[in-house]
Amino acid sequence: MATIKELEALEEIETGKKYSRTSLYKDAWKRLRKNKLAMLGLLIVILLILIAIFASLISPYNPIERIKEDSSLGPSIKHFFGTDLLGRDIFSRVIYGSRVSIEVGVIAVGISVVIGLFFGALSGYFGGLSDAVIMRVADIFFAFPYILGAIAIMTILGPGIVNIFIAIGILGWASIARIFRSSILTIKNKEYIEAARAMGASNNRIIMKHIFPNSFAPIIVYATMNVGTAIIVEAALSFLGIGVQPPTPAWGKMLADSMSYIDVAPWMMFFPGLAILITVLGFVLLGDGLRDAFDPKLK
Amino acid sequence: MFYFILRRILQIIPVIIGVTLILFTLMYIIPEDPAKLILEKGATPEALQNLRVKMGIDKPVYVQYWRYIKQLAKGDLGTSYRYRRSVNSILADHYPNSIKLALAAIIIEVIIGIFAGIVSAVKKFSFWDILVTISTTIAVCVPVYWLGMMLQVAFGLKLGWLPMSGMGDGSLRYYILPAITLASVSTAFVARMTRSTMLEVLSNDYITTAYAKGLSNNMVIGKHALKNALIPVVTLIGVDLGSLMGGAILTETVFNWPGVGRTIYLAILQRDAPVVIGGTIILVIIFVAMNLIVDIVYALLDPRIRYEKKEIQI
Amino acid sequence: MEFEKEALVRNYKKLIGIIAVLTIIVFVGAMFTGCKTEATGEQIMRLHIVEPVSLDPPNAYESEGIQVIRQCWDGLIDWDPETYEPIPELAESWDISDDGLVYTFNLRKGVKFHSGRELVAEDFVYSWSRVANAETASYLAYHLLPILGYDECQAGTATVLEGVKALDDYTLEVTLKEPYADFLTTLGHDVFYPVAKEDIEEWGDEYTEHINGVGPFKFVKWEHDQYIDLVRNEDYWGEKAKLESVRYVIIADEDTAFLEFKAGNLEYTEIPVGKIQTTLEDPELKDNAIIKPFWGLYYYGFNLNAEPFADNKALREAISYAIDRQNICDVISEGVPTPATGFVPPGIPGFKENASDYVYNVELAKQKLADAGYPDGEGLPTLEFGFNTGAGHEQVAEAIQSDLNEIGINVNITGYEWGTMLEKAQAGEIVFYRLGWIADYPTMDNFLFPLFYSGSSDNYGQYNNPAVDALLLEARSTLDEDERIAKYREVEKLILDDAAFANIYWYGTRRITQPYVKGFFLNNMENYDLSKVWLEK
Repeated sequence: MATIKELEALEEIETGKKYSRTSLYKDAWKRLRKNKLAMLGLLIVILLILIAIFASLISPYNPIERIKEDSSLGPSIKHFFGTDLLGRDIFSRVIYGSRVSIEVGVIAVGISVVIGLFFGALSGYFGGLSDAVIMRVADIFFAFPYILGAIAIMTILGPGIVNIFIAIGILGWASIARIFRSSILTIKNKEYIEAARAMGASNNRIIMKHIFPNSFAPIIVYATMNVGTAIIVEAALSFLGIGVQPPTPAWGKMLADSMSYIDVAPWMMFFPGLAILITVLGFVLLGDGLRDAFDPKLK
Repeated sequence: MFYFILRRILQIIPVIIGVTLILFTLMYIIPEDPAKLILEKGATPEALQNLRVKMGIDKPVYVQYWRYIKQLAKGDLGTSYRYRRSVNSILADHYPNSIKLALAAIIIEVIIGIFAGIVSAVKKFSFWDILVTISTTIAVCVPVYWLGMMLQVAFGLKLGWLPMSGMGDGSLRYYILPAITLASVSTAFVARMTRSTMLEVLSNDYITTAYAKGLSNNMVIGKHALKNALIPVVTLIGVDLGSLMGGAILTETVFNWPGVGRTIYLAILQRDAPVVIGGTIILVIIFVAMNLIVDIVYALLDPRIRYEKKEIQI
Repeated sequence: MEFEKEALVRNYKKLIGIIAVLTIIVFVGAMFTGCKTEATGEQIMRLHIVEPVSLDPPNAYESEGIQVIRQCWDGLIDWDPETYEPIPELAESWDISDDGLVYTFNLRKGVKFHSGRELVAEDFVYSWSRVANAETASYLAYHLLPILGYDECQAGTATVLEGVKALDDYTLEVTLKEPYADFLTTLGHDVFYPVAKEDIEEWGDEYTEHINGVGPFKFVKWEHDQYIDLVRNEDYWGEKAKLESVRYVIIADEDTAFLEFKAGNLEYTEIPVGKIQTTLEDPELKDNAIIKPFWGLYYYGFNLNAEPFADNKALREAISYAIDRQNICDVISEGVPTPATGFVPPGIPGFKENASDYVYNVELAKQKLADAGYPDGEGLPTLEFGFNTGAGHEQVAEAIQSDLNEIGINVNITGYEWGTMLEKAQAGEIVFYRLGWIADYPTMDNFLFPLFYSGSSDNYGQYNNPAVDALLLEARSTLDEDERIAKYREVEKLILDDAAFANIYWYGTRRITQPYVKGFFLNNMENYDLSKVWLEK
């Protein structure tokens, strides 16, 4: 997923930014507002967050409550999306499922950004041996099939949502580190950094004050896109039965439960999948839009 | 050139050692005892100890690791805990199925992806371009297993055109649905990439010149533009073979495809460490080797590229 | 110069392009043309199987390899298909000493291995010692536990079972450590099948691909992940099989196999979960579906030494009364299993109907919960429940979680791998967990002794009741069948009264054959004898 984006982002950094920071964000927002697809993405994301927050107000049923006599019913007025095998309302479960996805998206990516920034800074700013080691380790992470890695980590940590945060957080750091590293490398030798250094600013200060704000844009773009990936991976883990534990409604888990019944009860799998699709689409559109907004030349 | 290739090959070794180290650590951090996983009944202390000896897990981890590396150097991936069978032969049974599926997916990727990309670039902002843009955006967001299930319902159940799961007798129709599912995300990338490189190439001077010389549209696109535009696309596809195989766990699960992704996944669940480590090492080697081949081809095509690296994250 | 370089590069490109295209064509061509060979012949039966772990009797610990092994071998005794009593097979007759410790078997003469050599008593000495040996590390060694010398073999201090002796070529003497009245019945298990020493010496660990039995079918070939082929043994000592050959088709999952079955490519398979009701409604399929009890119990275990279950029988009873077993059987398993009303499943000699009165009763459950000191669940901590992932256990757990929630008990459920779950259970991290027990032999002892004898390694709940221990040992030394069964029934009553576990259901079989398969009988342990089967096409 990252390839093209990554190449583009690298290019983006290499070409350098001509704008000062404030006008960069202002211009970016202006461009973002004009981008209809990006605004659609933003709308989806905002709606989703609202749904997750107000899930208890929106859903007509308790998502884990069994209505024994309503087992495996198709969509109707009573149950918009039908019911599952155990007689639980799928609409309510889909609504509540947004919580898991949003949490995973935000927290897991947050973790990977923190790790990525740390190692990216270490690698880019100090160079030398730490750079070589960190980048080789990053290579290993890139060579390792993502989903296999996630499965392996989950089997060690055991199932559960907190462990999903950790697994996805650990796996996502390499791309962030690499982006941050390259942006440091391009900025590091700019005159104003030289000047700051000459004035006796400490390494920490230079990174925090000068380098970090200047490489913020690509990281935001990346993080947004990684949220989409994180949600897909979480759903996949739950689908494989090593993610979120029952009865917490999670979309991937609902899909797994429906697998044996696709011929008799296709609605059980249709709606949760659609929910994943729309959610990820929201983040991807927003991410694409942000990228274009920060660097219009690429469009 | 020779040194470049040599250096790239030598660089693979630390990556592979690193991967084995990580995998070994991972498989041994897991607190529980593989012997206990297998003995469902009658797990007396003696029986457990006998099984540990048989599995070779009675020794300290570093001894096991050293022995493993020595074996690995000889090309021996060890013996499965569960099946008491050579990991080499287990993988030999499953790898071909995954490679075949990945190749089928790549064929789809190439045909549909490149075609859609060209149409989209040549007829920029037309209905087709918009259609391609929208469908590629959606394709990258669809969970593959959901897509697989939808295809099963549509083409397997409702229409009854294609088999829903398994490899059957290995004939082509069994490949269609899983290959489409597996190819979906990559096809979208290929289409997008073809589109953007095509646009870039089409804006070059020599294309304008070619048009000016009165060459027909098809001629210009087919002969001049396409050739240059496809190089990065070919790179993407080459590297994709490795990622397709590793990423096929979900597709293989939905379609019950007897491939290597599913084998590794099940082995992880069963804590069959030799199969997990062996299977993953081969995956990584394929992945890294494809990267290397692509890099070498690239370097041959464009001597300026020597050290530039491009990785793909799945 | 510059121009030349460009031309060179262009040529390279062309060349590489051509090579790439050719490679792909060759590859793809080669890959898709490979066609599987079809075994032909009138009397060939094709059965679905999942890739077996092993075909070597001491290592075939799961349901798949056993199916093949049972066609290739005979045991000392077999189980009568109706009564499950031991009947002579390789042993023509036997004597049991009065103290129940020494068994003397008179072996059938003229029985030959498929390799042609005659079977003698010494083969049993070798085979059984091999199973018990530390070096073999057999998954199934525990079946030999009652035999004298077993512990020494497991500990590695002996290599031959002291209690197994060949008095001559056709007389085998077996001595037990302690009386075990059901020992004779256990000998029908495939772990006791004789293998030839020379084969093991020749093949070692690869014996599983060169098995050599004494049964009605001869092993031909195991093509991993594709098929296992058997042919009729023309030199069989008994009535020769009607089928010419048997092919076990290896398919990883039951859904795919079922589709193959419907397409007419299999004669026998499993009906997948989710397709049972539709199959039973299908006029073409319903008459050949085999839905019957499968001897095994699905139950929930308590850690009887940990809070809150220790010394709180009322709490355990409350849980048992709160579970809607019928709903679980009907909704999740489509009516295949039967709600358990005891521990030992129906059909096992000695089975007692309605041994327990744990039926779904919310009012009673609430009352018991109050008796336990937790009215409406107040004061009761959230229970950590573990199950092993897969096979629909999750949905059963969710259903039970919801049932328990109804009376005020909160449960956290987590899926683990089997071994992890057991370890967590032993460490006390989870106090409530899913277990299952499938019959090894058709005896009550097989359900009660391993699970409730205080010293047994399968007693995961750490149940310890001296009365039960004493009764179990007494029953084992009681040679009279009726008396023995009375004792086992008493044990069953005691453990049920103690609410030592919450029984859920007795398993059921969901299999199907083609209508032209005749003479096929599936017993309650999902065993079948293909030598009696023929096809009427």
